[in-house]
Amino acid sequence: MIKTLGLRLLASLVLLIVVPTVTFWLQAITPGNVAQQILGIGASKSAINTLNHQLGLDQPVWQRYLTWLGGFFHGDLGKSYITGDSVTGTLGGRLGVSLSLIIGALIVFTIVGVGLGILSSTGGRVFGRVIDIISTAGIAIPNFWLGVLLIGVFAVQLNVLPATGYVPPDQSASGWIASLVLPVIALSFAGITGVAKQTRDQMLVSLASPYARSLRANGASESSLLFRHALRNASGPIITVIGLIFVGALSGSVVVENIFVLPGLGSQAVQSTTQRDLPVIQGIAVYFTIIVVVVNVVIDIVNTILNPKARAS
Amino acid sequence: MNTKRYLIRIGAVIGVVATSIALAGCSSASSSPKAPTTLTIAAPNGPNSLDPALNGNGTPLIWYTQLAYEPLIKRAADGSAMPGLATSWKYSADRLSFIITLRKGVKFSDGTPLTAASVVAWLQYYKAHTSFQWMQNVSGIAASGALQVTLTLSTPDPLLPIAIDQEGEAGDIVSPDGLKDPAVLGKETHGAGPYVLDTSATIANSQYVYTANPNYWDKKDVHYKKVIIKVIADENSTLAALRSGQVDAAAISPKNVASAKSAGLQVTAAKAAMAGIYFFTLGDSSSPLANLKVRQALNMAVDRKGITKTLYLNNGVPTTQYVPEGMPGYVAGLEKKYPFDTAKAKKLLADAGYPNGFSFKMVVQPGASSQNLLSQAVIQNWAQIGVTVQLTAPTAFPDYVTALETGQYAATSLNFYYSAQLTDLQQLFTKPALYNAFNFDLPEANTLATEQRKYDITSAAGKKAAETSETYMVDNALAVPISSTDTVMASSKKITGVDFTSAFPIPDLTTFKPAN
Repeated sequence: MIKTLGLRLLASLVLLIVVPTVTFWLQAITPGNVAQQILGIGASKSAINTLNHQLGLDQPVWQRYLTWLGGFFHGDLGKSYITGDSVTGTLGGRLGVSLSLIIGALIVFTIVGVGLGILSSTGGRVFGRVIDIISTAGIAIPNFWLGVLLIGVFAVQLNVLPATGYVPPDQSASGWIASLVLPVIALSFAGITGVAKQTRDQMLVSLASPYARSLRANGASESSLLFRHALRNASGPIITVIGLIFVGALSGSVVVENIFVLPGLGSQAVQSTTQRDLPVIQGIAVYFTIIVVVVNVVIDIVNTILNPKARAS
Repeated sequence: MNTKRYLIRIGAVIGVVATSIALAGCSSASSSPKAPTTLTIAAPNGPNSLDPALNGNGTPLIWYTQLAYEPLIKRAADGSAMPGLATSWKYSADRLSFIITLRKGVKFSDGTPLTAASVVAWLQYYKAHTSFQWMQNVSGIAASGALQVTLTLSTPDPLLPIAIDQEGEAGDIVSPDGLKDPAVLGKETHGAGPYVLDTSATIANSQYVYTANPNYWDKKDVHYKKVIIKVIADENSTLAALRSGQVDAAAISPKNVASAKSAGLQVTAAKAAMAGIYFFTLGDSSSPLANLKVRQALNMAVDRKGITKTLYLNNGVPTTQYVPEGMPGYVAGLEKKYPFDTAKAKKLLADAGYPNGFSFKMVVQPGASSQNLLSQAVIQNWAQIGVTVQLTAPTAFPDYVTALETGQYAATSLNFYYSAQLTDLQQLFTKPALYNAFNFDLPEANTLATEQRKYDITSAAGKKAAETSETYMVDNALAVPISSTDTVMASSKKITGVDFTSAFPIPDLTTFKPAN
C-alpha cells in the first residue's frame, strides 16, 4: 500500500507541473494584449509598450515560462497584472470559500447519494423507478438554472436564506452554513443522483450474490448484511464514481459561484480569464490541481481500506 | 429493525438538524434589518483600477473612485458644476489659461494638508500616466499661489470643468503620500473624499468596503459609517439581492423594472446613453460606408421605434441624435431626418451605385448587455435593403481590441454615455478621436470642434455651436444613432438621494442617505 501511495504521490507531483504548463502555453498562443486591457482603448502605443515591458511581456515565451517555473519552485506564484497584488495573496482568501462549497457538495452528494441508493436498493420497484427518474432529471437540469430557482424560492419569496454572498465561518458559524445551503444544493444535485444510481446498481448486485444468500441463511441481520458486507463490497465502483463526480463539481463550482456571488477561485478564474491576467490564471490552475490530487489520494486511501482487493494491486 | 425505516429515520434527523442550523444562521444573515449605518450597492463590474488616472471614467465605474476621492469640481445631479476641493475656477480672457482656487483647511485621509503643490503633483502624474484625453490640451501645470493652480492650454478647451469633476476623474486629487509609490494606488485609496477604502475587508473584484474618512472637510455630508460595493455580474442575482434586502441600490435592466416595483423597490430612471452603430471606414474611398448616400440609406433602413420598444421597453426613446433632449446641441427638427422607409432607402442605395447592396463586417462592443441584440436587429433591417453584415461578438474587452487591430471591421456597436455634445464630436469624429481607429479625416468635423472649443458649454454661443455640430453629424449620417437609453436604478425605500438626470446620468453615491 505504501508503494501504491508513493507512486500516486509521484504522479501527482508530475501532474502539478504539467497542468499549469499546459495552461501557460494555451494562454501564450491566445491573442490578446494585457497592457491594452489595463490602459483602455485610447492608450498610446508608447504607453502600451512601457507597460508591456514593466510586466515582462515583451520577453520571448520560453523565457517567460522559465521565469514562472523558477518562481513556482520557490513557492512564488508571481503578481497579478491587473491589481499588482501577489497571486497567493489574491487566491488565499478565496481558497476557503471554494473549499467550503466543493467539500460541502462532496459530503452532501456522498451521504445523500449513498443513502438514497441504499434505500432504493432495499425498497420496491417503485422506489427504484422514482430514483431513476430523479437521476435523469438531476443530470439534465443545469446547475445554474437550479441555482436561480432556489434563490427565487428560498431567498426572494420565502426570505429564509441569503440570495447571494458568503459569510466566513469566523464571523458567524450559522451565517456561514446559511450562505452555503443553497449553493451546495445547486452544486451537489446532479452528483446526488449519479451516486444514488451507482450505489443502487452495485447494492442490487451485492445483495443478489451467493455470499449474501449464505449470510442470510446463517441468520445475519438485514442491517449487518447491508452495511457490513454488501455496501463494503459495492464500495469500489461507488467510490470511483464519487471521485469522477467530484472533478465535475469543480468545474460546476465556477458557475455556481457566479450565480450566488461567492468570492471563490471559480469566480476569480472567470474574471482573470477575461482580463488576460496570466499569473492569476496559472495560480488557479495550480490550486485546482492540488485540490483534485488531494481528494483523489484520499479517495484512493479510503478505497484501499474498504477493499482488500484494491490493496493488492 | 427494518433497514429502510432505520435509514429514513437517520435521514430525517440529519435533515432537521441541518435545517435548524441553517435557519438559525439565516436570522442573523438575511432577515435582520441592515443597520442604517451601512450602505450596500451592487455593481456589475469591478473597477479597471482604483487609481483615478487609470480607472474607467464617464461610466458607473467612477463609483469606486468617487467614494474616496473628492474631485476639484463636484457635478450635481442636474449637471451644474459645484465646488468640491476647488471653491472657484475660471478661464482667462484669451481662454488659454484655467485658474483654480482651492478650498482652505482640507486634509487627505492620511492627515496631510491639501496644497497647490499637492494638486500640481497629482495633475502632472495624471497627465503622464493616463490614456484618456481630458488633459490633452493642457501644456503647463503650475502653482500660482498657496491655494491656486493655473493650467496653461495649448488651445481653448471648454471641457476642463468636466475633466476635473467626478466624471473625468482628473481632479480626483491623490495625496503626495499616495504618489510616493503609485503602484499601491491599485489597491489603496489616498484621497480627500468622504470615505476611505478598507483594504483588509476588500476582496478585489468581489466586494469593496469603504469606511468614513475622519478627516473629510464636510463631515455633515457623510451619511454612512460604511459603504460596501458588491460586484454581482449576473442580472438575476442582482435583482434577487435587491429584492431580499441584501443590497440597497443597484442598476437594473428595463425588463426587471416591473419585478422591482412589485417587490416594493423605488425605481429611478433618466436618459443616460446613446446606443447605435459607428462606422470606422469613413475615410476609406474603397468602402461603401464612405459614401454619404449609402450612410443615409442605412439610417433610413433602421426601424428605430421597433428596436427601441423591444430592447428597452419603457426605458428608451428612438433617436437620430447623439445628445439627449434637454442637452445643448439637441435640435428637435433633426429627429425627422431619417424616417423608417425601406423603399426609399433601397432607392438611395441604388442612386449611390449599389443597387445590389454590399457587405461588410461588424464587431459588437462588449460591456453593455443589449449591444448584441441591438446589432442583430439592425443587421436584419439592413438585410431588407440588400446590405449583408457579418457580425462578431467578442465576450471580453481584450478580444474586442484585438479584433479592432485586425482592421477587418468596418463598423462597431456603440454605447455612448452622455457627457456634452463636444465630447461626442471629439471622441467620435475628429482626427484624432478615441473611437477613430482608422484615422479618417473629416475637415469639417475638425473645424466645428475648434469653433465649439472657443465657448463655454452652457453659454448661448456654445449652445449654438453645439447645435451646428449636431446638425452636421446627423445630416451627414456619420453614424447611426438608434436609441436614447436610460440608466435605471432600483433602490430600497430605506434610502433616498438617488438622483440623476440626463445632464449627469451617473448616480452620485455620496448623495445617497437614509430615508427618515
